[in-house]
Amino acid sequence: MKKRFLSVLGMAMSAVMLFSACGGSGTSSNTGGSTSEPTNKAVVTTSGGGAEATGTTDKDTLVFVMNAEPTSMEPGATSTGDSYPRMTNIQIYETLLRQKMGDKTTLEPLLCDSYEFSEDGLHINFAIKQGVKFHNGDEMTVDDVAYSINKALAMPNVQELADMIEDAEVIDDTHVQVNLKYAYSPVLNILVNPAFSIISQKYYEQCQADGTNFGRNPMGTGAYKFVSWQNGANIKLAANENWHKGDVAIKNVEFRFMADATTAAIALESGDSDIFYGVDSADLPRLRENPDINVLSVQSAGFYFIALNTDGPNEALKNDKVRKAINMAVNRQEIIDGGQDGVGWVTECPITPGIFGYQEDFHADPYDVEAAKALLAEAGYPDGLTIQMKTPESSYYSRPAQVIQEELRQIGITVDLQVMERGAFNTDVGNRDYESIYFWIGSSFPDADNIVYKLFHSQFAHSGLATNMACINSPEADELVEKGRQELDPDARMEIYKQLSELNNENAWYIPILTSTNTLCARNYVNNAYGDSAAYYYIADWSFNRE
Amino acid sequence: MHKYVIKRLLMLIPVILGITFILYSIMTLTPGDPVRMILGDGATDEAVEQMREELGLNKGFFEGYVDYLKDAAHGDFGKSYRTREPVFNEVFARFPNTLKLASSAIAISIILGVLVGIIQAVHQYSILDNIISGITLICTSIPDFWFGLILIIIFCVNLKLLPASGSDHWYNYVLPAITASMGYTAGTIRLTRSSMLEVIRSDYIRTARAKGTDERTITYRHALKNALLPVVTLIGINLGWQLGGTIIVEQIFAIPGIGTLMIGAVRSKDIPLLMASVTFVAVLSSLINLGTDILYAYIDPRIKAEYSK
Amino acid sequence: MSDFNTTAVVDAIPVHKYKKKSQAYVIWRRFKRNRMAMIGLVLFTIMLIVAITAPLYIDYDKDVITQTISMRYQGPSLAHPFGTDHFGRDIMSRVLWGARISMFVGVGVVAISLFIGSILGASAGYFGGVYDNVIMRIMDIVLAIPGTMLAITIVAALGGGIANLLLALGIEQVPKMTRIVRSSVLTLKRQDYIEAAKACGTGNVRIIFKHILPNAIGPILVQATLTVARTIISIAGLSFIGLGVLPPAPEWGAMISEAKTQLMNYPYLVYAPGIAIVLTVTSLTLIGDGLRDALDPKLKN
Repeated sequence: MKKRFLSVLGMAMSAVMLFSACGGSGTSSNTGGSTSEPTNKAVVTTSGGGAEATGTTDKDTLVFVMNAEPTSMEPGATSTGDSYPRMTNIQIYETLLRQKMGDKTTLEPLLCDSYEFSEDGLHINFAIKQGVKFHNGDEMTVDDVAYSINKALAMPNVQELADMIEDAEVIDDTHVQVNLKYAYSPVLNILVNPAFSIISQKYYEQCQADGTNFGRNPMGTGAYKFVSWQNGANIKLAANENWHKGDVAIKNVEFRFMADATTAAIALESGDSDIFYGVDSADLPRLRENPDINVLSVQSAGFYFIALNTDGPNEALKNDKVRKAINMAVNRQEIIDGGQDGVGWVTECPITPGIFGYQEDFHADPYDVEAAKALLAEAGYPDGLTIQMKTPESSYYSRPAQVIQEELRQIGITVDLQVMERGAFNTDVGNRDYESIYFWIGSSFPDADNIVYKLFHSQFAHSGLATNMACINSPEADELVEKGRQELDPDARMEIYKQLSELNNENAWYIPILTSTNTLCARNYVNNAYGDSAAYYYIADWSFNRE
Repeated sequence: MHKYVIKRLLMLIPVILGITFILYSIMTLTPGDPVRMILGDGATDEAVEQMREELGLNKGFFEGYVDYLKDAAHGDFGKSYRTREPVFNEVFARFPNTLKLASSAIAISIILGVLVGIIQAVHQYSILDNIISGITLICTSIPDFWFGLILIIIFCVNLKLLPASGSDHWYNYVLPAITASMGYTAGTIRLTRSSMLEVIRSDYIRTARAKGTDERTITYRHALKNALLPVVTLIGINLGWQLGGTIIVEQIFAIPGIGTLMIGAVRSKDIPLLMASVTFVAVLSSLINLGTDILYAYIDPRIKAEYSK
Repeated sequence: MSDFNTTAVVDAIPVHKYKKKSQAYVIWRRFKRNRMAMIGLVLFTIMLIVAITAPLYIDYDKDVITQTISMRYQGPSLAHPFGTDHFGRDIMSRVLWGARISMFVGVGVVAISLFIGSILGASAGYFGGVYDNVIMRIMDIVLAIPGTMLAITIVAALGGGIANLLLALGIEQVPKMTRIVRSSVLTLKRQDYIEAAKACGTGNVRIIFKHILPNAIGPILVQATLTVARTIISIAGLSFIGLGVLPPAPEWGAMISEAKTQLMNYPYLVYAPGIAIVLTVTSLTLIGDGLRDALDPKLKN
């Protein structure tokens, strides 16, 4: 019996040691990862019984891993800010214009030859490129263009993005005119959104007639043709031989969906995949050190913030001293280090860094626990108070929110942190059912107006769009936002956004925290792969490096 | 026997009704709006309303459920809110992957479980017996996601023997199947061992021994046959559970199976998809259990006699 | 089981206490002889003591939830035997405190499912007929839903937190408890002493709670022990997919889940909570097995 005990104990010990051993070698995986690519492939191939006989030299399929699956590939059927359908759709469909490779502030024609604004800025006349063919061989016509734009405008998802666009109409055999409700200079950026992809009217109507789900059987004019969509696993595309811009270097693309970011990072390291979008900040340092992998990080198009509901159930948050105390209690760098593994940029004004209107020299009230406590006491809460904070369940939100929870505890504020399922969170935000939230806002195009209009204008405070999340009803803020929208002089606009940032800081409606990265990780033999803040990755720009 | 089978099949009807009603109630009566989920941040109230109309979400609680049943009776189980695909298209697209995973996990648990269980029973109280008991005990106590991650580190990262993800080739299923089978293998080992020991002590084995039959023949000819009876039931139950129980393993290894589908459906409040996938799994495992019972009756005449009563 | 039913038959009032003690004593003696079960019991007792006394030597505010971002990812050392986590918190304090949560949820789930399961199972078994049929069919339906899926659905719908976890996992376990209680009651209700009680005019409720349930305690206890063990793993699993205890509570599963992303870089993060789970679950399994053997000596020879 004694022996029996000993043997079990021994088992337990050796099991523990086994795990320690695996863990230990896990840390040194960098050296393992640096073995050359062909070797990796060869190993995988032998274990797979030669199922995949292709080596790197005649590699023609790009495996693009992303951590979520699009729900539909019908243009405009998904949220316009959703980067997952964007990554697949821009390969299959094309828009009138696209972002220039590696320069998101410049647009270049894609399905048009040129365009012209009317004097009053209310009409844009597009000369449509001729001789472009859809994947089924049909020629793209001006009717298809106008139809696609009008169809997009009618989609629920698109209305928020494009409320300034009235409609599109055919002028003649080669021209389509887009009519606006009011002049809006960044309108071209909106037309780049894949929601405004050009589809074949004939094919779409045919799908509707015979009950085919267009969103699962997409067809456009893009560099790649749709091949198959295996639910939950992958979407496969093949090069379009008749593409109007010539041949593409990479012949096949497989988008593969892997929900677990750690597993997906390992797949990239072991050479199972070529591209990975959706890396977790924990894996970034390791991938950066790997010589076989290029980590292409850019600042993302939006920033994370705390919104304090100034018109909500918590009376304390109507007191600007309480809000200012919270503003002084957050240590942004600490939130980035603890919540995002040090990946990110401190953000102090309510505008994403890198877009027009961002205030580089602007600083919010500095981190000062004692001053914050004093303010809180002054406001009538010497013994602290409890506020509820809601945030979506992804670790990008929940981990920084936990650091904030801890920082506020230091000044005596107990944060009742509710990490919520995304749908429930969106519902509560829509219904204004929260005391405070930790959330994110992005810009669809690089201009401050796209963000501050939504955040500060009182028209979004109580009805309609749920974007004025602090529920601000301030004539002063409204005036600044409207002035910024109409002003044409860049210097004057900069000044307006500076004033707005100061106004926000004085009132501490929103507490901007950090800007994260948008990262694409690529095996180093993928040429020209680039980072993009809004995930506009045109695979047609890329190629394989052949040694 | 036939009567019994028909009775069991008829019992599936209340099960289906019950499951759909339970899930429908949970999903409808709790906070969270599938439409806000699909439309994303900053959807206008009008857009939300428009889509609610499209998806038929404006009906009352009971009206919605009754309409669902009516359509289901005609074979229309609805379309997924998110993908707009008929729900069973989604389920059948995912099912083969789960089936592959579950059946290979079960195969491992049968082969390894029965083999090790016999060895243990034959060598009762030996050091080997104790070591195996220790391992099986620990195997039942290790959370599967932990085990799976450790396997990934060993085999994918360090040894580079197997890919960490994918579902196209047989070798994609090696690690997931091992992970998923761990608990079941341990269960099968324990059951085989104890039922082997019980049989070995029974009178007819004693008789065989007394007659001078050699140990090998006793173990494999006489004892094993009877000892495997309870194991058959366990396998049936396990397979049923596996079909719905590989959720976490599917998550780790990124296998697009039913489990991943169900989690996605829960998260996005995709009610028709959730009801269809859970009902499908439940009905399938009920059928497997029924199949096991029938099989059991054929192997063991005593049970068959019981059914025909 | 038959042996202690017969002792119950002589359940005359004067010797009542003595008899009960001896019955428990017999089981205890058998249990004590089982070395593995005793190891489990000792292990579990230690963990229970740790869980109960944790507030005496750990300050929740200071040691468990206070973040020190500059101290992130410190490997094991004298000051931090298991290292520190992604917020610079001492993992040992968190693991020790986590024992409270895991055991509380584990025991809570059993209490809930036992309470509901006993009422449903005992009444179904005792009254039989249509009532029995209806209850058991409902249980079959709940049982037909894959257990993890049911819990996931409930937690996802209601949100995380201990109360919702208790509810979700409790509901998941009710059918199993109901079945076990019912089958015990079914065997017991045909016993002579129940007939005798009935003949004396004892009420149904009294018979169920006073005479039947105490005698069905054996299999219930075994199931309860194993359920606590399974529940601890279930919570970990739910936390793994992000549906567990709310932060900053140091639940073991949540700790592994948080460490998961760092498994490649700082693998030590998962050791302590993982081993804590394995130890607790193993000890409970050993106790459960030991109890089963002690209650039903036929299985052992």
